[in-house]
Amino acid sequence: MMKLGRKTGSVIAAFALCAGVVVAVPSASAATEFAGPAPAVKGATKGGTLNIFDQSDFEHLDPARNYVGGALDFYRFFTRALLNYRTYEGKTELLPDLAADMGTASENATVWTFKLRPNVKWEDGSTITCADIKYGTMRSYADDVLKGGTTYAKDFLDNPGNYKGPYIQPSADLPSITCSPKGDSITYKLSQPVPYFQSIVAYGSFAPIKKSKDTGANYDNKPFSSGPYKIQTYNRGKDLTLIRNAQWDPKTDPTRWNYPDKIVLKFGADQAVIENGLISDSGLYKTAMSLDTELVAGLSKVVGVAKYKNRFLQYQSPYSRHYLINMDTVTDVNVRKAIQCAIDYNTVILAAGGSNVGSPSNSMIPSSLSNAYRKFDICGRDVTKKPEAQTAAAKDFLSKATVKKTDLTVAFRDKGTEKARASAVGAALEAAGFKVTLKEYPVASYYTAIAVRGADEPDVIQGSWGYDWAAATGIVLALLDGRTMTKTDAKSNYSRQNDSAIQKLFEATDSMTDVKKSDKALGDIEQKTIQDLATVVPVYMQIANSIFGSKVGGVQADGGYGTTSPAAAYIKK
Amino acid sequence: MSTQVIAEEASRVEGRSPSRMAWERLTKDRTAKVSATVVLIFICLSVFAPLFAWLTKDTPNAFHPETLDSAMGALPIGKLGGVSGDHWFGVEPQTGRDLFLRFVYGARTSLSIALAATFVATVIGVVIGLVSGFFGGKIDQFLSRLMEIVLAFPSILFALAITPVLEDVLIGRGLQAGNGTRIPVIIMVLATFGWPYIARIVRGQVISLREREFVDAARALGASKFHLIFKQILPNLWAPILVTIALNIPTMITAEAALTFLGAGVMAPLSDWGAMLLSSVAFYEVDPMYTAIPGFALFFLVLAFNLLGDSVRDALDPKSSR
Amino acid sequence: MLSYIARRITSGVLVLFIVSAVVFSIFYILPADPARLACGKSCTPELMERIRHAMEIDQPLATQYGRFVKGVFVGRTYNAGTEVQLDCAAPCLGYSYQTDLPVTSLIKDRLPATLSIAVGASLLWLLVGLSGGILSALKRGTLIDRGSQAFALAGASLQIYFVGLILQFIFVNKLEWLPMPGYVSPFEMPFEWAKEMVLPWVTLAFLLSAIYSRLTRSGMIEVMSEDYIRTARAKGLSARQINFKHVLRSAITPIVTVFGLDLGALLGGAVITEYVFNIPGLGKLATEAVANVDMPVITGTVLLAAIFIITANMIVDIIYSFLDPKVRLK
Repeated sequence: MMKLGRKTGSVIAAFALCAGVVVAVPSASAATEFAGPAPAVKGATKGGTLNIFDQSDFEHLDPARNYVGGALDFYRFFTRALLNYRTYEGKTELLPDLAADMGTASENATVWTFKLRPNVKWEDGSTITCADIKYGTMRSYADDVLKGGTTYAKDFLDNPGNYKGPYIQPSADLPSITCSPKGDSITYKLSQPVPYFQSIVAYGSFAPIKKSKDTGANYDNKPFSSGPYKIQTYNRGKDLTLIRNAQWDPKTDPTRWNYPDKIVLKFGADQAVIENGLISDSGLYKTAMSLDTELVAGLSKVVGVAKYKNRFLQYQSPYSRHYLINMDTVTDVNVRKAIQCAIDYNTVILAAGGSNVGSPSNSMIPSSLSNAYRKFDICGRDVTKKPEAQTAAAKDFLSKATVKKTDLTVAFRDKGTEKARASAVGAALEAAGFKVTLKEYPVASYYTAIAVRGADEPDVIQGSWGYDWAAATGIVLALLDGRTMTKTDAKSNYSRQNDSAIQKLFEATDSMTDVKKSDKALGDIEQKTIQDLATVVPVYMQIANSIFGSKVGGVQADGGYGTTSPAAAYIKK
Repeated sequence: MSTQVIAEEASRVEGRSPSRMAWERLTKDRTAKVSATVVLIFICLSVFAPLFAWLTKDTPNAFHPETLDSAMGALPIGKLGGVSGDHWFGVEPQTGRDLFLRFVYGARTSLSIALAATFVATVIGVVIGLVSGFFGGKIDQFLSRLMEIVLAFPSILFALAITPVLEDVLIGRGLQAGNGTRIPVIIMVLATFGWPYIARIVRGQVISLREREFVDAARALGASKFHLIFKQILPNLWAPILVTIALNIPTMITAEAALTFLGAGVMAPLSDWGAMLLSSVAFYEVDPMYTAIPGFALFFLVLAFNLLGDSVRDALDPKSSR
Repeated sequence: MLSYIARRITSGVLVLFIVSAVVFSIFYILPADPARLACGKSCTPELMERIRHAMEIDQPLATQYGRFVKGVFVGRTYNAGTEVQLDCAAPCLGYSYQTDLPVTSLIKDRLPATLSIAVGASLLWLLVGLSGGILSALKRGTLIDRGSQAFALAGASLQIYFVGLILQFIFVNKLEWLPMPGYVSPFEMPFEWAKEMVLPWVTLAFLLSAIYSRLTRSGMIEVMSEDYIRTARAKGLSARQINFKHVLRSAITPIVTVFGLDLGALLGGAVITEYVFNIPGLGKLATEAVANVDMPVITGTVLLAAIFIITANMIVDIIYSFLDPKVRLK
């Protein structure tokens, strides 16, 4: 069972047109082939301070709790893992980070062994050991203290002793992870075959944590660095300053750069303030960028205008914007179909900022995943040809409903264009005969709040999703598989669905090791869910529009996390 | 002259009451006439908002995607934010909602909340000021202390903080979440911070009136307290009360807009001037009309009320230095 | 004199206690579940439990309030002895569970920005208001007078966000004379600090100077026609001596009152100004706390603002009593 999904946080991963992350093929001479440093970025110079202005602070910087695109990209400045994505000159590769090779699978992909690089140091000069990497994973089991984050370790590692984490069981061991006697390699024993395990170990639950520096729930406030930068000050909600970590040796890391001397983040400004600031290119904004703010109102000023060409970045993102309908509160499928038909694709996309921000899509799966993506009708029409609301059909479905629920709450986040989009949906639903209450949530807790089952559940949820890696497994399972839910927590299955026919199809995919096969099966499941169960209304795939200061270079779309990335950024002299 | 002529002359020179004189002074004041007209226009706009909706066959919440330029960040097509025969004030970016209707309905929301709050605050303020000033002694001390305490609260901050709390309480008692609950909360909160200003002025007036001869005379004649309050003092209070009302309304309008601007006001999609200002902030560079409309409207309305209040005060008491 | 000061301070402290009790009760008693409210919208079940423990919800209100007040003077330790012990040094204005920090440290962090706005703006509006009023009074009836009065009236009728946006549009976006408003430490980058503060200062000064202008003008006019001024003039004192010495001093009393009140209110956090200009001050802290429903921070900032207002009132009254001895005898 896989959990997937990355909640949207900021700009989304960029995937040019043909997607596809190249997973470097394991080879015999791994040691030299995967040595650092990372290739130099053209024109980059060392020095200066990179400023980042964001609307909100990161939810979590603790690797065991981090699950948001922008944060996952950013925290690599001080967090190393076994493998890591590197986007360089438009190409994205998964490369060995703390590992010295890409890992070797054995016993039908249920055992994975990674050789480790020697002499990689923490920010205090001590060596990052195999025990540290193992502890990092053991710690991710502590759900009681460390809420949030991916559950990959728990999902895939063999755990016959039912290990519960180091805070509850301080002296217990997790035997499925073993370090070689010399500490130069690490082996994972899995509970099921996972051919794509390499993509999994890029995530935080496989990042090392030094046990003596583990501050539990407070680790979020000052993570201990293994990367090119370390935290100087962090005032939650206000600012964060990174300075160089002298202990990071570029020769041990082919995936990172460290051009700026200092990176200063400031949180709390409004969408409009950041947009206008970056466009104005004045003062601190000259050397600034944003991780979570895209151009919306200022888009018309910037798109196609020569003056901004060098500091404007536009790319197709794999993030889908869609609406999920809560099956627990909207129980009649006819009501759900009515909601599907009522939504007006035009007004939602306009509210988001128009055709430069997105184009109508009938699926949450990006078209770049060719085996999984398919074109089908929603509410009996091609949404790209007829994006208008099908109000007559909606009214028709509503009249056929036996459990007539006409009072709906639409949940959305207090960020950017979310309110305008939610208003568009609200107006469209009202035109079809519903009575709508819009409910706004703060950004920092949206996903936790809307997943709560049993109380205050919203009916229609404005959501967005970007895959964790380039396969349908990264989307469909997390969002639609009923097995992920608990009685009190819907996790990422926001539509709370658990239809027996569809669940049977999900179970069939569990054993599929061939990505092409699983992609196709999951694409079928998504289509069935949308057309038959009517719990999802995909609306558009995001186009990301970023602007940055004139003295910033190296800003790129990261292929691993789908965000506007500062990883290769430098300050021009 | 003959007695008849004198009698005729005398009848022509009528004795004018103070209110009559005040009224005449007011009507002669050009500024007062202009500002009163402005206020009246706004009131009419908000009262007749549904009429405008019927006339244009549109609603303030209806989206008009065809008026927006999708490739240009969903901004209105055409000059001045989409002003046209169909849309007299243009349209809202990203939604295409008609701005004229949103404006008049917004006026309706903002004005009715402000007037309701002013009314409640005035009633409370007059009662407390009257009681405090008239009875004096311990009652006065207690009520004055109460006024001081309320004035010690940081009003905007507190209003911002307490609105969700109050709403929470009301929802806990069974009311629905939504504007039906939010609006009464806003009115209550605004009135709670508004009454001390009125009470203080009323109290001051009552204290000075209390010692005047006509009150003494009435008291000497054996008038009951009830009679004193209602027949002697209250009738002489209406002048300062009127002035405070005129000067408090713009404060309430501004406060309501500020509250909505900060997020504790009316909820979307109900139109409100504060909400319009808030959403226009993002577009002030590319679509300044969207900001200018509620901004200038608020300015003119508040200005008109301020001038009107000044004029009323001058009319009632011409001795105040000009 | 001293007894008046003593009386005034006692009364001020009393008001403060009452205000704090009211604030405390409203935020901790009124809500159906104060722990849930303190937990805010980012709530998780484990955070809730921690909060319930720390808040000692089961204790009677008076005990809770007592603990809170004690915490202000000597500091407080939540969940003492457990592994989730939270230390809150004196003066402890509460603990923000959501950001895992004592409210006092959050406030200390934001105070410089608010002070920067308050001090700069107040000096500017005093300058503008007083000089405008003096000018108006001296050149009474002329175009200058009318112009000054119109300026004051416009300021009193406009809103901060509107004026702020317009000024920003002109000076930052179009003319590019000023950088985007914000806050940098005046000790590190004094010029940048001043440049980024100009717009908030000017906006606030424009809006708030109106009343000072009006008070100065009417005060001066009234006093100038008083008997003792005529006597002074008859005695042969020059116009200038008369104007500045006698007239201004008498007219200053209402101005002192209003200034104290305005400054007190502004120090509590110029909520809208900080929002519009994106200054990370107390006002912004409060709006963020409201958005996140972080009750302890909301309570703390409201309390602090009340302290500023009450203190300003006290100081103003005491200064007023120096200037006008009749007050002391009441």
